[in-house]
Amino acid sequence: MNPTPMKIVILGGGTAGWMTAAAFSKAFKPDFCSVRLIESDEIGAVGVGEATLPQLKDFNDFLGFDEADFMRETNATFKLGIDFRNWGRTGDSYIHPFGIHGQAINGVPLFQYWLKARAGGDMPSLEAYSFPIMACRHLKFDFPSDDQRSVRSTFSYAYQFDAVLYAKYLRRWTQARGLQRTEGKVVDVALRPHDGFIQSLTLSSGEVIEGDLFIDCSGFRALLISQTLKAEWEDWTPWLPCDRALAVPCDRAGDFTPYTRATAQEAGWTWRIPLQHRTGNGYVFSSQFSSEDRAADVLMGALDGGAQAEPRLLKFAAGRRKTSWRKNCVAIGLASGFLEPLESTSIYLAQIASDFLIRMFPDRNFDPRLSDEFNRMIDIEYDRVRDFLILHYHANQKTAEEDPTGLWRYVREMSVPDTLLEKMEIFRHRGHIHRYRDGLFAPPSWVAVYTGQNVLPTHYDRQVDNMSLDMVRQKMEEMRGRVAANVDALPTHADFLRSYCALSDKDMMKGAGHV
Amino acid sequence: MSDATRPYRLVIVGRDDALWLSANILWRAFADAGFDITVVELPSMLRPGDVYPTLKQQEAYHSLIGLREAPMMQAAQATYSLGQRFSNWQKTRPPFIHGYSTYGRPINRVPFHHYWVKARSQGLKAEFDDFSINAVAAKNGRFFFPGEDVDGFAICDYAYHLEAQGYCKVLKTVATGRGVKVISGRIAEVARDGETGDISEIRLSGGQSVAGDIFVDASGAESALLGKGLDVGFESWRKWFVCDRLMTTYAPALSPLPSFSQISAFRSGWTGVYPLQSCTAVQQIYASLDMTDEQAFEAGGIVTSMPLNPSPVVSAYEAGLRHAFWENNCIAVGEAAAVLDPIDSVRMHVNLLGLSHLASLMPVTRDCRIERAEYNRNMRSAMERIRDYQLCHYLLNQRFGQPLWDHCRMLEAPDALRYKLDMFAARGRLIVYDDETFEDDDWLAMLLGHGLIPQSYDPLADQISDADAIAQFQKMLGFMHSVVEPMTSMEAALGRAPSPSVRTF
Repeated sequence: MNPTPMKIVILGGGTAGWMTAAAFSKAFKPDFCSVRLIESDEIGAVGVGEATLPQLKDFNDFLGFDEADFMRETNATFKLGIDFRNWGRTGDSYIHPFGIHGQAINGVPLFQYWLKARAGGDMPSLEAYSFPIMACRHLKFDFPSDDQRSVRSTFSYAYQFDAVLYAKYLRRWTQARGLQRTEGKVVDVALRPHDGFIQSLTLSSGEVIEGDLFIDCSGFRALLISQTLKAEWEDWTPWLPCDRALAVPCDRAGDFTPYTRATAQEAGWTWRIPLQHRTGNGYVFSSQFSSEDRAADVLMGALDGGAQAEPRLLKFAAGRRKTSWRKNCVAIGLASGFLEPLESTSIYLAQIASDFLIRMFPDRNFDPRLSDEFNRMIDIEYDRVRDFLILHYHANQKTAEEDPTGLWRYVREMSVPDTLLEKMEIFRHRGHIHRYRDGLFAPPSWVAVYTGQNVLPTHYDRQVDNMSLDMVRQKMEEMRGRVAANVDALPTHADFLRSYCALSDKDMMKGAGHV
Repeated sequence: MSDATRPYRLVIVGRDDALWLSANILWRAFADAGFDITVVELPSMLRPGDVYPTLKQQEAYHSLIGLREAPMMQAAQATYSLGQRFSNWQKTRPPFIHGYSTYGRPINRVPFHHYWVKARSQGLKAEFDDFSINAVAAKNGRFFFPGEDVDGFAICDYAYHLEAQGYCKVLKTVATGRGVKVISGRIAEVARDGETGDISEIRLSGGQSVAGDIFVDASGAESALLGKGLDVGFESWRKWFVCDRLMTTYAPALSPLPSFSQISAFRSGWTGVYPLQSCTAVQQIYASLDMTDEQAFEAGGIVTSMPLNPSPVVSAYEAGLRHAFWENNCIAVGEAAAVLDPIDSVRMHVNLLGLSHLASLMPVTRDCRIERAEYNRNMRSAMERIRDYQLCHYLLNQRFGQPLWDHCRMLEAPDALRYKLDMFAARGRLIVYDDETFEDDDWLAMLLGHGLIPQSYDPLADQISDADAIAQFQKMLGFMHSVVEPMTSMEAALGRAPSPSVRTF
């Protein structure tokens, strides 16, 4: 397409930077573009997101990674969903699975039949009809089946891993393919006088790096997209007031879960992410509702194993860039936007941005239609996640005793975006969910969070009445039985992982005997 | 079950396809759900030779309502359709077929059309529709029921050409056979509740009245309940769709029977040719400003080269939709809510879309504001997406020097469509919005068929060598040839005597 290869400069070597570099080096031939990544060892990677979404497997497959090798090298475990504790009320627990709650009957979601059946008498929890949830509850794992008729085909899976190791893994792989990495800090950015495009970066060493396209993966600093090009920020903190996180690893203990846990706390929530060799923990909280000292106490009190370090503090704000691609600069990762890792979306958002950028890759003319489309798609992705996260906070019923800081009352009473309000209104009324096309979270995800947080419809879909209550109960019981029998036959997560990808000399799985 | 708080008296008022599809589909969804369903049949507006061309979604609804295919095909003198052939929309490009199948195969997860765009720029001769099994089968006079031999390579579907009177008769027989209560008559008055404005009952000219909780208006373009009864106004799409006349006639049956419909542009509109077993339905769609009915009839004869029945039926239409599809306790389906341009055979599908949304939003309380808002939002969006697709045929025409077509090329596209066309032109990036009826391959077939060739393609398509791409293309073409060659004729599929001449490769 171009007479001389496009020069791409990636600024920043965190997860976003190395994912983008890896994707480019896989996607583009050397005669199409050259890629150079600048990172500074002085600047630490954030690495909050250690839990991922199933889309990461697509990314790894695209690069051609061997799954077992990748998992070994990043201390990865399997993830079937997230266990949300204490969100609606203290004591609640529900799992948002990467899958569905039973298979539809006559084209109507099983969930609707469950609504009817429970109105007519005691019914098992909706969880009992979901294969991935029951696998979580029994600490089991195996790969999905290809047989579409089997309940074992009704889910997908992701990983929980050490994001710093993953960045290193990507870096090794990418450098082996010839990518040029430059160590250094940017001290100056030169713009082209006539159009304000970025011309070059100057490093502290004095080296000047020119480029045609600059990818800003500099994290919260947003050195190029914000500090240089002044792309505006859209602030979402009124809806998502958490602005701090404390992170700390601890020794492996407790259940070896094929899922991440997110537990609501007085001023936010704590995460628990089991890796092969340790457990990642953190506390996302709002500085309006908690001091850092108090937050550290909450976090340390929530650990189920011995802390391996002092908690590390991160500061952030929810929101996104109004234009992630401006002139010849594209922000990917935290430079583009930030949403707390409640639904493990950080790595996904970087992945999808690098994928969109490849699809919309410009030449030196920078056709504005390409950046318009990139920005439109990125905005949809962030906005979908935003609404879904807000729902987790908004839909709580905590009493004053359960809410000493007042955070939960604030988020319950705040006004939410209209896009979310419409969705909640019709769900409350009759459990109806209109499927949207682009962006994360299909109807089963919404069902999981609504029902898990005690938002139950007043009515159900009347098509369900076409089947007698006895027949509904019988069909649902069959479904429950199928799920239970199939889960029973699975190996435990610990056993599966041990045989699939564990290093024998690693002292992983300590404590996995609880299974 | 008679739960007094829930509306349960469902009254369906209308005629023809909209009425009988409503009756069957709503009966299927709610007959045992505590509803009391009454059908009020208004006098039919159908004439001999009227045809319903459908989309590929039709068959699923037939299965749903338990309509058996063979007797239906017989009663409706129907043929199957693998796609539509568009001819004379441009002088410089050959006709193309919009086949109801996927086109090519993705390579390394990149959609096929990017490779095709690239290969064409390097001199590839094969047209885009050479990569659709449906299109290739149609071109070669073949028909097939999608089965295992194409699974894993393509997703293939078919639509129907249905003789309208026969089809409605079958639907009515099925509905009455299930026990649906039918009252025939003419509307004297749509009575409304003084307080809420809801429809309380339909009074018929014979003196009978039918009371209900929920009314479905399936009366066609008359919009007897929603438009006339509730005064819901009409939003015209005339600024986009300049044709305003639909002339229907018929010609003798074709032999062998083609497995596609033919859509041919002419000076002042286009001609639709829809094969039926008993005859060939012919529609002239044209602008009355540009052409008289007599001229249109004459043009039809020239375009089709067929002897047309000399007593055509002409009806005026105006594309557009009602400001609301659901108002008070009345839900309009089909043309009572939206009159779409006849191109792309979408009119039948509008019925089905409305009914499937209604089934999942059937009110659970007398206050149905929430359902109504959702229904209106989703249906309007679905109609606008169909409109955008239809509009492309007119916008992208390459018939220069003819006032109607020159005008159409200058039409201002709605923003969402403009954006979609811009992105496609720039990068072959096909945006498919929420609530689209037409899927990726439908859009690609149409856009590329009309000659909108993207300026660039997905850079990932450069990741395989040209030799590899050529090998993949040849493999696909070879596979399609091997699948299509043994296919038989439409006549064979219909269980009729084989036609004398099936073309071979």
